[in-house]
Amino acid sequence: MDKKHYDEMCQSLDGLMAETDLKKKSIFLFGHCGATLELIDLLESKDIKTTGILDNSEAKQGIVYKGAKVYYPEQILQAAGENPDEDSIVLITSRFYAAMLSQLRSLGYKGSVRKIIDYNTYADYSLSEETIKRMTYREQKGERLIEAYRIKYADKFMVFFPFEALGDIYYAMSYWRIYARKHNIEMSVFFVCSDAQKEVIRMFGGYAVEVCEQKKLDAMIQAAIYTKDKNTFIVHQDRPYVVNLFKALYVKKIPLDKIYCCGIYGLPKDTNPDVPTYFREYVDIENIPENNAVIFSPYAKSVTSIDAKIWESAVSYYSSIGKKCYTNVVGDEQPLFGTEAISPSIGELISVVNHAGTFVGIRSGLCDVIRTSTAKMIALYPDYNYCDTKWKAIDMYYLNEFQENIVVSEDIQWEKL
Amino acid sequence: MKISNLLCELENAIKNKNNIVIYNMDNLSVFEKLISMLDHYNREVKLWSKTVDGFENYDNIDKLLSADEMDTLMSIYNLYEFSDKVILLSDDNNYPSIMNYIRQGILSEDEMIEALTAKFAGE
Repeated sequence: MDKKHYDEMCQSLDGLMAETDLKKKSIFLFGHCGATLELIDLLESKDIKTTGILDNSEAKQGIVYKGAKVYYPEQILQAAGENPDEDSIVLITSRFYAAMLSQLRSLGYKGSVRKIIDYNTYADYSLSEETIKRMTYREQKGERLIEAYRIKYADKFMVFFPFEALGDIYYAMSYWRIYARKHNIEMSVFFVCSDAQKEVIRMFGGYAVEVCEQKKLDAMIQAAIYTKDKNTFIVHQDRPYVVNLFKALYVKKIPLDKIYCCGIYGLPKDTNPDVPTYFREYVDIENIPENNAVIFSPYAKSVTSIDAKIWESAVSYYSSIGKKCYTNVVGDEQPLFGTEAISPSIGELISVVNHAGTFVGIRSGLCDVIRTSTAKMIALYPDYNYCDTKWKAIDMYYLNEFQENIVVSEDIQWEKL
Repeated sequence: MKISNLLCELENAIKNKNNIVIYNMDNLSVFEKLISMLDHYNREVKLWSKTVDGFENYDNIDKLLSADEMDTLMSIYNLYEFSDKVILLSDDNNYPSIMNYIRQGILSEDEMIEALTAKFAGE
């Protein structure tokens, strides 16, 4: 989860705690995902225990996280005690809030259901006049924003990236030039919602990039869909709701690379992706021991964390063989014990990893950014399913360029890698 | 049909826990496979299709929409996500389509239909 959404989650929870004594409630979270697990951690930090996690996925039944067991939503009325409507509350951090609320109500649950993060401005499960009016207003706002940017960017083709994820942007840019050539698109401007995404785009060339607030970006995307604007394209596999590519994963495993190449851009399977070539050298590169250092990347905003013991054992091993250890940190992230903090920019990271000689990181978008590095690279995958599919994260995100792709289930024998 | 009548019908179908497939393509082959797949489902799925020559011969279409009706439906669908019980099959949009997988040989038409209807809401 990115910092913006994490802060929103903290604020929502504080607001909720000011009006409700959560310690007296059975708390259920809907949807077993990274954000839900982060909310459980946050609740735990406030001495609040989570009773259970509701999830429709058969594959997730039986999972327990910090005492919170996964239940089918149908089980809430039994699991929430004698008077579930009064004694329990359901907290939702998923973008499927509207669907989850609708399901709970259809099951007869009348208790409180609270949206903790507003991930999805596209959905409101109602066809009332008031809702249509509000959504029309939002769409018109999006049209005005597009008009303004069209003036600023002199009618360049507009490319919208609906979701803040580095890996997705990397894949998107790997095939963009080929798609643009096929469709005779000469000049384009990219709309993203974070500076980090902008940096990834700039690794692929001197494109025009506009960093927007998420809600403004959502409104423009909705306007582009509504007006069927042929001078725009939306690049994602499952956002917003009109994009149905991800459903293919219910019947077939399609790695993310092929989702972007064939699904999003409609390019042939054997299309060779572009690789990024615009990098900058880290200013303090000479202070890193050449080919005798390790860059650890234990943090990922959108991925379930890996047990601290795994990182401890890695730092211990690499230190014991004389490697200097660094932790790549952003903002208030702390370096792993026994390592030094290092914070290169996205565009500088590959120079750092090349120079250090070894990279060990949780599989996140950062791993994509350094894919073309010459260093020894090890990607660690938490053992989780990709969205609500039967495929594991490693099935979707496996990196051929990395020497090791490891699903972390127990201790790792570092000396054998 | 008036716009408000069409929206009422849509709202009622959703309230009655029906899943609705809106077919807004001319592709007869995919259409036939969709009909065949829906025939095998023991579930409440409604098929609303645009009017294309030949489609009227299929008696298991729940609603054949005129061009104006389809435009109305699309204008609401493209305005916001009003339900998770509605699935649209269309092509030639300014966003990616699952039809790309068929064109690139990643999915067969049967697999695409199976994928789209695999998780109707509420099941």
